[in-house]
Amino acid sequence: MDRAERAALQQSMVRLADGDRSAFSPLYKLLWPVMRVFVHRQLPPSDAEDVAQEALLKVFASASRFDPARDALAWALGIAAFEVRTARKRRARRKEELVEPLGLPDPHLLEDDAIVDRHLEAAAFEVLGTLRPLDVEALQCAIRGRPPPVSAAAFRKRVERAIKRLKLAWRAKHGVD
Amino acid sequence: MAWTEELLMAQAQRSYELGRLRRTVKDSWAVALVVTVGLLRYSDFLLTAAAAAVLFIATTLFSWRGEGWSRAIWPGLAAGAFPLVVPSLAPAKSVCWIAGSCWPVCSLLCPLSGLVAGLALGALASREDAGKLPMLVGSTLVAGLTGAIGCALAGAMGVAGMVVGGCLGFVPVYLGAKIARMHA
Repeated sequence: MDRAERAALQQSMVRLADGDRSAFSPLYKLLWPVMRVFVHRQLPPSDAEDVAQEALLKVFASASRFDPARDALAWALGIAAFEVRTARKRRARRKEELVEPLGLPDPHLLEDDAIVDRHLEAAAFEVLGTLRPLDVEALQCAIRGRPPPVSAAAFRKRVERAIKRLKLAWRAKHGVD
Repeated sequence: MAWTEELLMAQAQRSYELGRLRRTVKDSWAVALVVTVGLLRYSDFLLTAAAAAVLFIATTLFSWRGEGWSRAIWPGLAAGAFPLVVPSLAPAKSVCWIAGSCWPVCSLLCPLSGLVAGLALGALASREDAGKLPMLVGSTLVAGLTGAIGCALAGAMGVAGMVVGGCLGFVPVYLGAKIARMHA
């Protein structure tokens, strides 16, 4: 928009704010292309046209409140920028709503997890079977919360040793902790 | 949404008109104040209500229409404030004898305050930039209706007196200014 067009836009906006309806058409012709380009630069094409039209309607709805001391183009683009920001927020919210269901556990993933868990349990029992009966008994008592057959301090020591041996056995069989 | 160009233009026009209509509140709120002043003084209720309704419609229409019409509202209200307030300043039972007839003072204050309002409107209308028809008609109507709410205190005769006083104030000032401009 060159300087002459900008001056014409300012003049038309001032006239329209005062109630001169004959300024409507020239103002519309000057303002719409500028607002359209402004919004299209900032939003994806799917949203841009709707937002540009909404912004234009808001500019005309507020035209009677326009202060002649202000720059008409900057004022109109300010309204358009606000609409763009609102549209972006709306879009972000929509995306969140679309992403949210993905956050819920997928039934297929749950099935896979259950298989992995079953394999791990089987492997753990296999390793547990290689330990001494005393170690297995200590671990079973600790896991199930049964009263220890020895004193508490001795039992704690026994459980520690059993875990150490279980780790070693696991590492020996599977190569990882 | 995505309207066609023609539809968008029509919608924009509609938005503009609705925006203007919403904006009329900034002028028409004063009518509530005028009506309150009128009702507080136990004026003729029907006359007050009729004048208030017409005043509200007139201010809303003028404000919505814009240009000279909307600029006429506040000067009209200011000029009409004289006949709105002055008649009520007279003591309730005070009377005055004119040509052998007894008149309540408040009735006499109606044409007098109308005269002051007429002079003010005449001075305003005779200013070159403000002397256009919408401004002239608008401010006179608003002042007349505002004053009528005040002069309803003296009934229909009070309102008629205010109108006569207003014309007597307005016409000489306005015509004098016109003639002076023609000779200048």
